[in-house]
Amino acid sequence: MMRIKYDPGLKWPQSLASAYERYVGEGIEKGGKGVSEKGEKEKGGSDSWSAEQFHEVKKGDTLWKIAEQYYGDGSLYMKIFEANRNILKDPNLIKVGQKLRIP
Amino acid sequence: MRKFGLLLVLMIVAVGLILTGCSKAKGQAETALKAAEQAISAAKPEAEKFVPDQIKALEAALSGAKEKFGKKDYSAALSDAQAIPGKVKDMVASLNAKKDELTKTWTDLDQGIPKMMEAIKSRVGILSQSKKLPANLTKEKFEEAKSGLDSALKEWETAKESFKGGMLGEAVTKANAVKEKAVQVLELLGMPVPAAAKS
Repeated sequence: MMRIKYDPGLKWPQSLASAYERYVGEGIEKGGKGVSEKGEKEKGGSDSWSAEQFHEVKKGDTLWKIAEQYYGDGSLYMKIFEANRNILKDPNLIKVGQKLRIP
Repeated sequence: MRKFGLLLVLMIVAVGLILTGCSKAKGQAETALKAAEQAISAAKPEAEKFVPDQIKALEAALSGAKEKFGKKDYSAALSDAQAIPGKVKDMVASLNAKKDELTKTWTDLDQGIPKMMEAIKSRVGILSQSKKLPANLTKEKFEEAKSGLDSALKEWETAKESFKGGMLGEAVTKANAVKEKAVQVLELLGMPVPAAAKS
């Protein structure tokens, strides 16, 4: 049986690293959960008549803050949570880069 | 005396030939006018909806040919009347092209406008529950958006009625007006305007 020694100085080959970046960049999490940015773009972009508004989560964003930005009232954050139940499990857990539909 | 008799016979024959020719031209003109009238009548109901200017021009041409016939200018009436069925055929071709274009436009608007309306209704519904409006939206703008939505919804219903009534051109004109209004409301609310609605 062949053994591979752990080498902390070992770097990933460039092609593998860029493939991983592409993989993460498309919004697919390692566990297979989460939202695909590409998928959201297709959802909102392929239909040229769609008037749906999307918000990309940035660092420091909360649903309350997003609701304040779009509705003027943070207490309406559940409207955004309900519209994004397909990608959100908990209103307190949103991730940077997620594209949220703003109803 | 014999010479005079011969001349008289020749004159009678000539007059006879002229009269026969005249009567033949009259008959041909009559037939051509009838055919032109029938061609126009058959195409008129649809043409009035889609190409009203063209059908009016053809009716004017038919009136002109009839006028010439009335003035006993049979050959002119004949040539004018004979040209009409061909022009009717051309008009029907352009009518069908316009009908296809309007049908395509209507289908597109009929798919798109309800999506815009739903997005606006949803946002207006949520904003109506808000204790405070967002920074980019004043109370006046919001009221304007609400009344814009109401009138767009009403106008959309009349557009659909026009379509059901077979008034395709009118339906498309009304639907385009609804689209413009919906775009204004989206802009007032700070919502994105769909790419298809910008054209």
